[in-house]
Parts: sequence; C-alpha cells; structure tokens
Amino acid sequence: MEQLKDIIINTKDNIEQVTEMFYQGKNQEGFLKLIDVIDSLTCIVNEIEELDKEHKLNNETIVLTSLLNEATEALINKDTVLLADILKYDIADVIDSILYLISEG
Amino acid sequence: MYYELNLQKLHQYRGILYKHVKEKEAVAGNTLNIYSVATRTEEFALVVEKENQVIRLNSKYNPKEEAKRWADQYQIKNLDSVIVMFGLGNGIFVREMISKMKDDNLLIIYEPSFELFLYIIRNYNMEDIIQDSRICLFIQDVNEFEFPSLLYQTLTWKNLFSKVECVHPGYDKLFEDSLKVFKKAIIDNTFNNLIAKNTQEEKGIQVVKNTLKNLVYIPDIITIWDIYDDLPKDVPAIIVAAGPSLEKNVDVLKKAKGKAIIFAVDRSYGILLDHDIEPDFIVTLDATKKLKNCGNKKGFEVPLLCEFNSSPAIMDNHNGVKIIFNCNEYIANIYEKFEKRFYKIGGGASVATAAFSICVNLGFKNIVFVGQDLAYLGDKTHAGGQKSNNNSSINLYVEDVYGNTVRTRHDWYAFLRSYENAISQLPDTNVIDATEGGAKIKGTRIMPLLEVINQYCTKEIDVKSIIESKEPTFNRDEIKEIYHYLADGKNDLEKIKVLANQAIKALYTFEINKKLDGKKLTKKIAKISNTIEKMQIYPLIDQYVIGTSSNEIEELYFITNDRKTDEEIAFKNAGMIFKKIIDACDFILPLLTDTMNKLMY
Repeated sequence: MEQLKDIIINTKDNIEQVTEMFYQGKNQEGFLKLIDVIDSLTCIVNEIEELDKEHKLNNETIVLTSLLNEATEALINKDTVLLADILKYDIADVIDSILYLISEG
Repeated sequence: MYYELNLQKLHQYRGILYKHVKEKEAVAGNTLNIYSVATRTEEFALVVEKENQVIRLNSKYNPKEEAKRWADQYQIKNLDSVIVMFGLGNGIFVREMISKMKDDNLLIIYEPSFELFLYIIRNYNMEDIIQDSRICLFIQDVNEFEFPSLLYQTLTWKNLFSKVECVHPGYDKLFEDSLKVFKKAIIDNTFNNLIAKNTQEEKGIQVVKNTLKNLVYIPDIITIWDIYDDLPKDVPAIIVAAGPSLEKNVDVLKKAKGKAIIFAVDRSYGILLDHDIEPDFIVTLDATKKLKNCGNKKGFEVPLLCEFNSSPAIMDNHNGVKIIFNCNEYIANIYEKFEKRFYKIGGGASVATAAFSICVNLGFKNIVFVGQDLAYLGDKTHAGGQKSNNNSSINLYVEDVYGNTVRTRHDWYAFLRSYENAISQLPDTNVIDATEGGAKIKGTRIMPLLEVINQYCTKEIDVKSIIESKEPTFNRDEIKEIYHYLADGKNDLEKIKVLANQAIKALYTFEINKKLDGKKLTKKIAKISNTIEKMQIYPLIDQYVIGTSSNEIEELYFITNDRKTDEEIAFKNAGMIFKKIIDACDFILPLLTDTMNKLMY
C-alpha cells in the first residue's frame, strides 16, 4: 500500500507539470512528460487489481479507466487543453479519492 | 447580446476601428462555425470549427485557471515593454495578460479573423478591453495594414529585447498562415529597428553637424510643400534607383522626359548623366554621401530634394534649387514658429524609399519604379557593374518579379518590406514596378517601362519652370528672426551645461554616500532632465546623445525589480548620458556660432 501511495503522490506532481505545459502551449514537452503520467496511471490500476482483494476501489478503477479512455480520445484529437483539463480536474480527483480510501485502510 | 454595448465602446474609444468595422461588417466572411459552450465554472468557452477541425479556444472546465497558468509563463518586467499577442479570443486570456501589465506597458493584439471578431463582440462583454488605452487592436482584413507601422513606432531598438510575444491557445492551429504573417511582421520590425539603430549610432553626430552646416542655405531653400500645389497629380512620377537592372531600360527613359516627372535617387544620377538624361529632381538622404556617388558633377543644377541634414559634400557642390523634404525637430520648430506649411514625412531607411515617400506625399496617383532591384543580379549590386563590398550583409532569398527565387541582402530586404507596408496603406495609388528584374514588391503592378510610358506618359509637363518660379520659403525679415532663434539656442547650450553639471554632481554625491535617499535623487534628476528637454536646442542634443550612447539608453529600459540594483544601474547610465550632453553642447556651440556668422553676411 505504501508503494501505491508514493506512486499516486508522484503521479499528482507529474499531472500538475503536464497540465502546466499544455496550458502554456509547450506541447512537445507536455507529450514527453505525459508518457510518465500514463505509465504511472497504468501502474496505479495494476497495483489496485493486485492489492484490492475486497474490491473497495472498484468504482474508482472503473471511473479511472473511463477517464483514461476520454484522455486517449483527446490525445488522438490533439486537443491538449481538454487532455490537460481531464488530467487536472478529473483524473487528479479520482486518484485523490483512491489515496484517501487506501489511507483510511 | 453585447453587440450594442461593445459597438458603443468601440465608437467612443476607437473611432477609426469602429468606422472600419461598420464598413466591412456586411462583407465579413462566413467560413467558420463558431459557438460557445458552458464550462464547469459557469463561464463560456469559445469553440471554432474549421475544415472539419474542432478547436476549443478555452478550457471547458476552468477557463480562468487555464488562462492564469498560460500567462504565468510570461514575465513583463522592463520599462515600456510591449506585448504582442496573436488572437483576441473571448477576452479571458487577454485579461490575464492585462493583470500582469503596468501603466507603461502596451499590449498589441492581432486578431486574424474578422468573422471571429464579430462573433466575439456579439456574444462577449469586451467593454474593459476596448476602453483600455494600453491596448492596440488590429483585425485582419479591417485594419491590419496599420500593424507594421505601429510595431515600428512602439517596438523600437530601445525596448526591442523586452518584448513579449504570445499566441492565444488554439489560434496557432486555426490560423496557421496568418500566424506566419504576424511573426514575419515582428521579424521585419526587428530588422528595420536594428538598421535604424545602426544608422543613428553611425551617423548621429554627422546629422547634427550637417544640420548646423546646412542652415546657411536657409535663405534660399524651399520645401516639398511649397511645390505641392504646382505639380499635377495625374502625371506619372518615375523613381529611378541604381539597381543593376537599370542598365536594361535606362535609354527607354528618354521617351518619358517632359511627360513624366523623373526622380533620380542620388546614385542613379551618374548613370542617367552617362545616357544624356536629365532628371527633374535628384533625391539625396545620406548624411555622409560622397559627390562621386551622386553624379560626380561639381556645380550640378538639377533641383535637389534633400533632408536638412544631407551630406554637405552634395549640398555644397550643388548650385540649383534645394528642396527640403525632411528635417529634425530643431528645424521643424522653425517652420512651425513661422507658420510655414511643413510636415515631417516618414522616409524609410533608404534614399529610394525616401523618394517613394516624397512622391506619395506630393500626391502622385501613378508612381513607377525603375532600377529598383532590391536584389543581386548575379553578383552585381548596382548598375554600372558595381559589385558588393558589404561583407557584413546577410544573404536572404525572396521571390523575384518572374516568380523565381533571387538573392537579396538584409538591408534591401528591410527596404522591400518597408515598400510593401507602405503600398498596402495606399489603396488609391497605382504603384508600378518597371524595373524589369529584381525582387517582387508585393502590391505593385509589374510592367515593362516602355509599356508604362506608352500608357501613362500622355501629358506634357515643364517641371523646370515650376521650380524656377518659386520664391524661397523664408523672406529676409524671417531670416533675421531665425538668426535670433539660433542665438537663443546658443544661450540654451550654456544653461544646459550648468544643469547637466548639477546632475553629475548630485549623482556623484550619491555614489560616495550610499545612505542618501535614492528617491529624492531620482526626482532631482527627472526635474533637470525635463528642463533640458524643454529647450529648443534639445533635439540636436538628443540626436548627438543617441549617436554616442545608445547602449546606455537601452539599459535604462531594463529593470531587475530590485530597487537598489535598478537605482544603481539607472544612476550610472544617467551620469554617462549627462556627460554626453555636455559633450554635445561643446560640439554644437562652435558649429552654431560659425553658421550664425555666415548667415549674418
């Protein structure tokens, strides 16, 4: 669980950075950093599957997966502002609530 | 929804733009699908669909936060900083930029779509932006032709490197071609301003010297405004430059003599003399031009269109009528004092662009370029087989009159853009390029010279008798008064030296006693500067100082936001500038005395 917490905190930082880059039109840098964010999010989903035996985080996992699909669509459309919005407001919220739930035990 | 309010504000605060908008509203394009969507923060995000592409110009979650993050990347810290922004949007990004600006900053907005602009003023409250005097607004197809000249006036070598350039998110995807035009205008402006800075640095002192020396001609000179009413506007004005293509069609010019008004730029006069063609005017500009580069004929009598600070080597060897087309503020004040018709004209950076400006200001409806290559012909730079000796020039490539690519130089490139900007503002002037070679000048009609002569040179004109009939601008009594004006200038020089010494002393006292109040000293220095700047001789002092201290002046515009450091830099540079002001006084005084002595006799 501690490892998952660290990943989530780290991912939140990375999301802030990616968002900043996309809002500032620094797309090249944003896309490079985005790779780290996607890797971390995939890692979060995998870790939850591994650790969440009681399926307490089922709902969050579903929302996160759905948001990742939306983000992918924004990525395909090269809509970097929407991508940043989804990361900053939606995905960040979900991983916040995951962090809360796992901290609560 | 907000249309009436925005229009009313446009009318109130930007009358000319309002007029253009109203005139062009009916013919605005309809190529975009523009709409707004509600955001999570209960604002509206602007969305534009163009060629199956959907571009949202704001975050649909939190547009203000997005704009704040976007604006955070820009730092506006120096004095007189100019922010140049591509795209107006619905005002959210503009407002974030405004929140970072100080009173001395200027925000120039270039909106590439009139259609989008109309949507914005119909659907968003833009009142605050419209009435903000720190904002200049240009809209493509409405008033964008004014954009380069405003850039030139506001983004000069003094604040060029404090400029902030930014693009409204999404506009780069929607208006790629316009963005290129916008960026090119900024690059061209940088070129033009650096050339202007070099000219001022190189020739600042010479300009002061020439102005004072040439004052001895004031009893006999006339100005272009004295002949304005006498020259028919429908006769073609042919500007002959000395580009390498002049050799192709110089003899054809003989057919135009007496049926057009021929303006030879100084260097081309020699070529015309070789071909037995006497122009109606010679135009000269350069403060250091040598006679060998202007016909090399001592005592030449062709009317000379000159600046008040043109080269004495040309002025002193000319025995005809001298016609002033431009001067510095010191001389312009003399015309104003005697209520003479005189307007300063923008001449661009070359003698040929100055000749063009003269023709435009004289109101000619048909202006023809000959020998205006603005490009190399092989390795030739000028007619007469002259090759380039300007090793420091940067090579660039532009489209030629035949649609191919041709090599040009950075200074010619700047002149080319200067022509194009000027022509774009002259919808009623027919500008014909009859060079038969060289760079393509956008906005001109390309025609062979013979065809131009056959079509346009249909009326006889005797320029010589028009010029010979003119009386000098100033009569004898006025010349006596001008003498007194110069004498007052001499007295000013003494006063300026005293004031500058006071400033230097105060700066020195501060330097050795750092505990003194910097704000008090700033006030004192500002008061001294204001007193000096109000004196009538000041424009000459200013020219001298710019010529010798441009780097110190440039540094005065940079601030670090650390008060102590800023004070130290400003005081150090101010001290240098006051020393230069004293040098200027010492330089001007003997020249002014000499001119006054000559004028007396």
